[in-house]
Amino acid sequence: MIVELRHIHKSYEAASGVPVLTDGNVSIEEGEFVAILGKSGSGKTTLLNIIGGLDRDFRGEAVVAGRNLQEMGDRALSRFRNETIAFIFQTFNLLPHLTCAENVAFPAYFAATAGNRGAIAKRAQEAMERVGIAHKAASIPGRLSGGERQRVAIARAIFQRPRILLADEPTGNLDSVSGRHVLELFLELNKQDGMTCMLVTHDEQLAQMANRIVRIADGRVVREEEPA
Amino acid sequence: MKGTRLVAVVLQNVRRNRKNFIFSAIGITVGVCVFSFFTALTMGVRVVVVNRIYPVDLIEVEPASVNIAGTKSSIEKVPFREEGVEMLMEDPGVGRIFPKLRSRFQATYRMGGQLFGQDGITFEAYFDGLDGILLRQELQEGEERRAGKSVKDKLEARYGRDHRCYDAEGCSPGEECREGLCQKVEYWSLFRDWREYIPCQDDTICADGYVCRFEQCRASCASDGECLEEETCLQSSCTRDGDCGPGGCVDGLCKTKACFFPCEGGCPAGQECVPETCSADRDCPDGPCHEGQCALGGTCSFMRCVQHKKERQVLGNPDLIRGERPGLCDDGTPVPDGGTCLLARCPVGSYCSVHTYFKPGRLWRDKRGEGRCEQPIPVVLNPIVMEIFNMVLGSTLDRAQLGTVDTLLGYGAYVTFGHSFYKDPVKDRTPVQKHMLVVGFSNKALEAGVTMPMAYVHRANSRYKGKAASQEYDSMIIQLAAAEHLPAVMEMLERLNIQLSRRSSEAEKFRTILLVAIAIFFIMASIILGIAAVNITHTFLMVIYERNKEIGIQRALGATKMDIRLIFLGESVLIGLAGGAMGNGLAYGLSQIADYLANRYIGDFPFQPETFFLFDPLWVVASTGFAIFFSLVGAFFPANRAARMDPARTLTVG
Repeated sequence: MIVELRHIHKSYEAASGVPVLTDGNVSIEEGEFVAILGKSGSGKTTLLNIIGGLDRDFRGEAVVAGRNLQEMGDRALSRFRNETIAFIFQTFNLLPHLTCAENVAFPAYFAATAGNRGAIAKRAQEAMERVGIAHKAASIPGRLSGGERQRVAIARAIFQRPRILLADEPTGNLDSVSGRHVLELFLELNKQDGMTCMLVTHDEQLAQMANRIVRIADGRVVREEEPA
Repeated sequence: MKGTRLVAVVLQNVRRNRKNFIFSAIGITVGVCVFSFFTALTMGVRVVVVNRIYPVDLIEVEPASVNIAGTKSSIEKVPFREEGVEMLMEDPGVGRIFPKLRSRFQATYRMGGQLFGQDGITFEAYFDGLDGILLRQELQEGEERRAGKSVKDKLEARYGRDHRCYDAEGCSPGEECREGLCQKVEYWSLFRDWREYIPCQDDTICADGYVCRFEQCRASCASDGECLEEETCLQSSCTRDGDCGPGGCVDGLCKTKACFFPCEGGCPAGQECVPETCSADRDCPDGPCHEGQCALGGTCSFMRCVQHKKERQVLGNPDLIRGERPGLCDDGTPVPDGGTCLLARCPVGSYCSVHTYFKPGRLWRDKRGEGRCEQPIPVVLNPIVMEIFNMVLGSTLDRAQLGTVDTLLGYGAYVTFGHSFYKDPVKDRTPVQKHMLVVGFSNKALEAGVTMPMAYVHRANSRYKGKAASQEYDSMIIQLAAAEHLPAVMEMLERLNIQLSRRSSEAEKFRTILLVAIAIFFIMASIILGIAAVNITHTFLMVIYERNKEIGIQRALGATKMDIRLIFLGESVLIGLAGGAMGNGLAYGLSQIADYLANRYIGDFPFQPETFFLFDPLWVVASTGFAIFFSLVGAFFPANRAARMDPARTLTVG
C-alpha cells in the first residue's frame, strides 16, 4: 500500500467538536488512479491534505509511501512533500511574478539535491514538454489561459518525479475541453509513469475515469466502488 | 534550503516588493545616517583634539602641592628629578618619560620688523625645554601636512634639472641643497641640540654633565652613546689637572671624557676643523706632530666671526643671512694653507653670535662685532600664539593678520639670556644674545613663550642660576607603553601624590565629554532605528498577509518552517544592508557639505583639520551591522508568524 489511512479523525474547531473527518480509513495501492468523490464540505480536501502531509493536526494513523506522517518532524515532512508528493489545485496556485519555467522549477529551491542550474532548467524543460506547454516557458502565468496554467501546474507537480499526485478539483476552473485534456494527462502519467493519482472531485463523470472511487459524505468514507 | 537558492528567492521577492522595500529602508537609512554622521564628527574631533592636542597615550604630570598659610609645599612622593624619572620608569605601563624644564632666570625676546614694524619689539621671555624625540615626529607630520605634495616633487615638476644644486649657496633663501636639489628647508629636523658656544675658564659655569674643555663647555661622557649623533666621546690631552676638572690629568690625558666633533666627514655649518696641538708624535693619535699640530685628526670648533652691518640689518630673517662659500675667506681669498680665516662671515644656516656685555641700564654688543658662528636655537611655538597675535597684537599694532602658522615657520628672533625689564641682570653673568629659529608648532609648546630642546634650557639654567636650578623638573610628560595602561598609570600617579597638569586634566574632561556625546548619538540613532524596526514589523505583517497563499504554496512544494523564516529574515537583512549603505553614503555626503561650509565660512584657526569627520571603516561596518540588527529585530516576529502559518488552511481558504 502506498497510502494507508486508519481511523482518521479531524475537526477544525476543537471546541465546537464538529468533525470534518470521522474514522476515515483509506488504502491505496501504488500505481492506482483513485477518485475521491463527495459534495462540497464532505472532507475530500482535508483527506488530500492529510495524505500530502500538509495537515498534521488529526488523530489516527496515516502511513504514506511507507512513512508514518505523524512521527515526522517538519524538516522530514517538508522533504517528503518535495520529493514524494505533488499537489495540483483547482486555482493552479502558480507564483504570478515568475515565468512558467521558473514556476515549474520552483520546487528545486527546496530540494535537498537539485543539481546545478543547467540540470534544473533541463528538467523543467522536459516537464513542460511532457505536458505540452514548453512554448510558453518564458511567459508569466497571467498571460496564459486556464488550461495552460493548469498544464504549468502539472509540469511543476511532476518536476520532482513524485510517487503520488494529489489533484484537488483540477478541472474546476477549466472549460470541458481543457478539463478533458488535463485528465488525459493524469491518465498518461498514471499509466506510463506508474504514478499513483488521487483525484478529488464532486463530478461523477470525471470520477468514472479512475480505477476506483472512494465516496465521502459528511466526513465519513461511505463506500468504495469500481467505476461503472 | 541552500544559501544561494535562499538569496535567489530573497532577491525575487525584493524585486517585486520594491515599494515596500524602499519604504522600510528609509527609516533605517535615517537612523544609520544620524549615527554615522555624528559618530564620524565625534571621531574627527577626537582625532584632532585628542590625538593632536591631547594625545591619548601622553599624560603630563606635575608635582602635587598644598597651600599652607600662603606657601605652596610639594607633597609628591617622587622627586621631579632624574632619580624620580627612573623610579617612574619602573612601572610597566610607562613607556618613556620626557621631563619639562622651564627657564629659571630672566630673559627677553626681540622680534624683528617683519611682524611689528621697522624697530621690532622687545618683551619678557619665558621658555621651556623638551626632548626633541617627543616633538620631531609631530613637527614633521604638521609640516608635511601643510606642505601637501612632496616639496621635491613640486620643485622637480616646476624647475626640472635647473633646480639642481651642489650646496646651499646655489639655492634661494628658505631652501637647502638636499639630494642634489634645492628644496624647502625641513624645519622639523632642526629641532635638536646644536650645542651653542659657552666660553668657560673652569667647570663651574658649565651645567651638570658638562665639563670645560679647551675653553668651552662640552658634554661629559663615558661612551659615544651619550654624545650627539655626530660627536665622539674622547679623552682630550692636558698638561695639568686644571685643564680637566673632575678626575684630573693623568698621563697627559683628561680622565673624564668629553664629547667632541671629529673632523672626519666635515664640520657642521659654523664650525671649523681645529687640528689637535702636540709637542711630539706621541701626542697625536693618527700621524705625526708637525709644528705643534697633529697632521691628521682634530675636532670641529665654533668658527670665529664678525657680524657685518648688513647682516645686522637683516637679522630677524635668518634666511637672508648669507655667508661666503666654505673654503674662501670673507674677502674672497682662499683659506691660507694650514690656517683659518679670522673674522669671516658665517656659512648659510649659522649666524655670528656676538659677545655681549652689560653696562647699567643697557645691553651692549662687542664693538668689533666679534663672536662665534652658531646654529640658531630651534624653537617651537604653540599655535595659540597665532591666535594671540591675530586677535590682540595684530589689531593693537595695526598689523595684518598672519593667516596660517606657516607664516611664522622659519621666522627668526633674538633671545637675550640674563636680561629683563623687571630685574637687574644676574650678578656675575654676562647677558648673552642668541638667535632663535621657529621650526614648528605644537600644542605641547609653552603657550606664553617658546619651547626649545631641553639641553639649551638645562645649560642656560645652570649658567645663570647655578647647577641646582637645572636639576628640578617642572613637569613630566609620560608616554604610556600602550593606551590601555592609562587607568593603571593614573592609579599609580594618585598613589604617589602626583597630579595631572592642567592640560592633561582638560584632556580627561574632554574624553569624558566625547564619550557622553557618542553615547547620546548612539541613543538617538537607536531610537530612530527602533522606530524603523517597528515600521519594518508593520510592513512585513502587511507583506505576509499579501503573500499568505504564496507561503502555503512554498510549504506544499517542500519549504520547511525555517526556510520561510529565513526568506523573510533574508529580506530584512537586505533592507538593513541597503539602509546601512544609503545611510552611510548620505552621512558621507552631508559631511562633505559640512566641511565645505566650514572651510568657506569659519576660516583658519589653530589645529584646523582638513576634515572634521573621520569615517572609520570599522564604524561604517558596525553601523551597517547595527542597521541589519534592527531590521532583523523588526522582521523577527512577522517571519516567525509566517513560518507558523498552517499551509493547508492558507491553500484552502486563500
